[in-house]
Amino acid sequence: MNKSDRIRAITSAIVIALSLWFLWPTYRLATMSKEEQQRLEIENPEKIDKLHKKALKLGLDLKGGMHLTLEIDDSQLKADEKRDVLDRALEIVRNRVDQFGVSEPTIQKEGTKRIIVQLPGLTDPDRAKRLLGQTAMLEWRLIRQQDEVAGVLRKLDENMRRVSGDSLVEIGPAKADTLGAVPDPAKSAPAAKAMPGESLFAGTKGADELPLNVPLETVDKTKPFTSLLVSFNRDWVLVREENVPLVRRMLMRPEAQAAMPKDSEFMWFDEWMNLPEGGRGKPLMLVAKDEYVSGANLVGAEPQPNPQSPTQRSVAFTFNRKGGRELARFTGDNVGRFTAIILDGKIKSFPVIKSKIPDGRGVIEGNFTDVEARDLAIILRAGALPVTMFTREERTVGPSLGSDSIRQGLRAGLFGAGAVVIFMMVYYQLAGVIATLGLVLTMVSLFGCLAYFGAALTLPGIAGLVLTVGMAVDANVLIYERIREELRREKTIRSAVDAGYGRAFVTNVDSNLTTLITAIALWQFGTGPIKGFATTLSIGILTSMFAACVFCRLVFDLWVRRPMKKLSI
Amino acid sequence: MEFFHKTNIDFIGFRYKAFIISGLIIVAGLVSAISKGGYKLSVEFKGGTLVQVKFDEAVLIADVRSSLNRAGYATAEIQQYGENGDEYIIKIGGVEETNYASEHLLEGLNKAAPGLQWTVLSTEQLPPDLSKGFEGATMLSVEADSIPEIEGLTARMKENGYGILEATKTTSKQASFRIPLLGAETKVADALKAELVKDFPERTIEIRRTETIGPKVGKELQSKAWAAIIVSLFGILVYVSWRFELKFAVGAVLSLAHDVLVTVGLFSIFNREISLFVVAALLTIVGYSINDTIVVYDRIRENFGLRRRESYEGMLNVSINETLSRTIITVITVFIVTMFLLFMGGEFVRDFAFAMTIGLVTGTYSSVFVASALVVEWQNRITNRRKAARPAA
Repeated sequence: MNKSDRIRAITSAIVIALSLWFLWPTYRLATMSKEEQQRLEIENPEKIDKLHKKALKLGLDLKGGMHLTLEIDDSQLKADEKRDVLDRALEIVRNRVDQFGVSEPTIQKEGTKRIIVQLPGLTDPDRAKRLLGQTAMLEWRLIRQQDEVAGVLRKLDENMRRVSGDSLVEIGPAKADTLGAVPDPAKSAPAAKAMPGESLFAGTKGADELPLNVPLETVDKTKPFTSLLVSFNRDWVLVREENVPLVRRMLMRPEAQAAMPKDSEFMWFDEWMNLPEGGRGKPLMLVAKDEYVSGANLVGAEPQPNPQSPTQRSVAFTFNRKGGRELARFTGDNVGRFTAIILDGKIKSFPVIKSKIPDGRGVIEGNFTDVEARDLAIILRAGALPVTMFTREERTVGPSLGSDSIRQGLRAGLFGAGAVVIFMMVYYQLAGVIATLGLVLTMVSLFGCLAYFGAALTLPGIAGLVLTVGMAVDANVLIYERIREELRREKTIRSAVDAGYGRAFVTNVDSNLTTLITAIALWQFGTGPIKGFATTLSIGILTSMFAACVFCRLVFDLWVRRPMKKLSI
Repeated sequence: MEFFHKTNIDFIGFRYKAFIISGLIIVAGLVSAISKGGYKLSVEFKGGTLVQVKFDEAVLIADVRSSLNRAGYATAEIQQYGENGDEYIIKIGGVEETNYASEHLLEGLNKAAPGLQWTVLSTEQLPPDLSKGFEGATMLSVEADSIPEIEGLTARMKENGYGILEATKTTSKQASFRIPLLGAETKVADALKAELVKDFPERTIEIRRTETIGPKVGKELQSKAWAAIIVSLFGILVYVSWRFELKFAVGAVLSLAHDVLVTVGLFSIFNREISLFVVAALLTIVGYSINDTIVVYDRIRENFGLRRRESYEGMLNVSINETLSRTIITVITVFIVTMFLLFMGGEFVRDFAFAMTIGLVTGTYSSVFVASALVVEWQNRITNRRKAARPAA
């Protein structure tokens, strides 16, 4: 093997290895049985998440789901209200999209007035539209204290035990073995950053005073609810990440509803907190329904420097006169208690009330970074200055249509590829076999690249794949025709092959680069699914060039080294 | 196996006939488009609503039609999808906002200034005009017992979340408002669904796809599609004139424009819809056709050094003939897959595959008959001018 062939062999091996490596998660997921997948989801959710993230993704049009282009209407806003209007709208949308329970939503800004929302696998577009269409609601509510929470938890345990008994456990086993002793509250409070308002915690009760210490073995049938909680050492409880869905479901049951006091409800904090023993947990809080201040009366919120620590920020807010009166009464009555700042049903921050705020002008202190302070201000303003949004574009695709399309597309692709392969073998004989190998490499590395770049496969993308099958042999055809020409000029096989590859290379680059220009233009201007087509086409051009000029060249060289009278081409 | 051994076809000599044939097809396409009032555009470009419904059993298209008529969509286009008669695509283009806008405005007025007997006198929809940066609006004139002070009124409405672009008090009892487009087309899909469910009580109805595009987004997509085509043609012009010569680049781009015009022309003649996906096909054709053209040009460049003594036309002819086999073979392989897409790929890719098929044929034809012929025309003009200039000097 000469030097250039060795380089070709090495690069081909690397490309093949990388492509297979990138495709491994896709293969793993595709061959995994439903049961195995379910088991893994419970035992090792991180692993399955990783697999899903790295596997080839299907676009909305194939998976089914909803694509929405929302446009904010700022014609009802004053100049100063328009400032961060898109950020506010984005916050509201993001906050609500979480409620749909779709696995990988995409929410992004487009230009200065639009938000694009993609909800893959969404089954109920009506509900999505209703939820997104509502006006945002911001409230400051009182968080119930420990003794009240304890009472509710006890009642919940009782009700769940009495009504469902064994059936509850079957909802799904908790990962229990690592849940050890009650965490030390000093340690369990993570870095102050993870929890807005952390610096305001004073006088939390020590671990020994806890009314409910719950070291957990498994889902305890005698304490079906509290056994799912990690700790209960302040006015809220922590739920370990893997138990969150179960707790959520439990709380929705009628038995749980019956245990709830009329004037309070459970709500989740929107962020995760690190647990001292590893993993993450979500705080669950019992918030008052009757003691609250409406955020609609807020007139402004701005980040400002924290006087105690110059590098960090706090958020100043102002209420109008009506809101100021409410706030004065609310804070005056509840000094020392925690409040939950709730945007559309989710707790965004929970500061403690230090003193009465008489004039509607207050500060949320905390060790916020610039970004955190800005985000909190946006949240406060989002609830106060509702933004009207219009739907400018809406596409929904049912899952059945997507699977039909995949089936038809793949069938067309396979038959097409088969026909092309047969044609190439008949027309170019053994050289056609090499071209077929090249075609296989083209497709494998194309899929590998798609998986690596996280590009989603769309319906036009499938058409692009099928088209690539037809176009990928182009480079080889060009080379083979050249070799035939050279052979006609009575050249030796060796020199005909060299001349064929040498001369055809420049042509190949020129002709493929121009095709790439159109693919890039298409990518630049196209929307979602068409982008998928452009991506597939561009990558297909590059991989087919590689396959023809490097991989097939190598195989060809190895083949013609053997003495032969006539080249089978 | 070999289809073409050594050909010696006079492609260049055929060029005037080729120009006439191409010209006729392009003109026929343009005439068809003009007589039909423009190209038939998909919902994406036009703005409007598309709903694809599947019934659990076949239903008559007439029943679907009468159900739509009852819902007030007499102009809806109904298309059977698949062969079973259980699936239909319903398209409603260019939804009028005015009714919806009237309700919306009245609601806002009654909230801000109750008890004044507001009525809407007239409405007018102003379509978006992107070139002027106008986003579209609805103009409404209203009447009431008495019109309150207009600035205070609009301020109160804005506080309630009703967007108003402009408000003027025309008389003591009349005022006119300009409000933003509210996206009425999103309501259409829901209304349609409800109506079908009501009219086919014994059938299970599955909504397999809905598409709702506002007029502004549609206009934007149109201009994006144009931009994509123009940018790629321009990119090719620059690249080819860098790698070859300007006259080659111009010949190539003109033959590409030819491919696009022929394809959209045939789309108009066959009454097919141009969608975003079809535009993608057009660009792929552009990319594919240039591929063929470049291979020929490349051979011309190579032969230019080798066959100095031959005439320009002769050399071009030889180059086209030498690459003919390759041109045809690559077309065959792509043609094979396009045929499979056309007949097996399902309804959704059918228009795409149709465009690809036309494009493949016209793209190959233009690479062989048009692109180099244009270069010859250009070259002859230069030589003629030189000849004309010489005796004078």
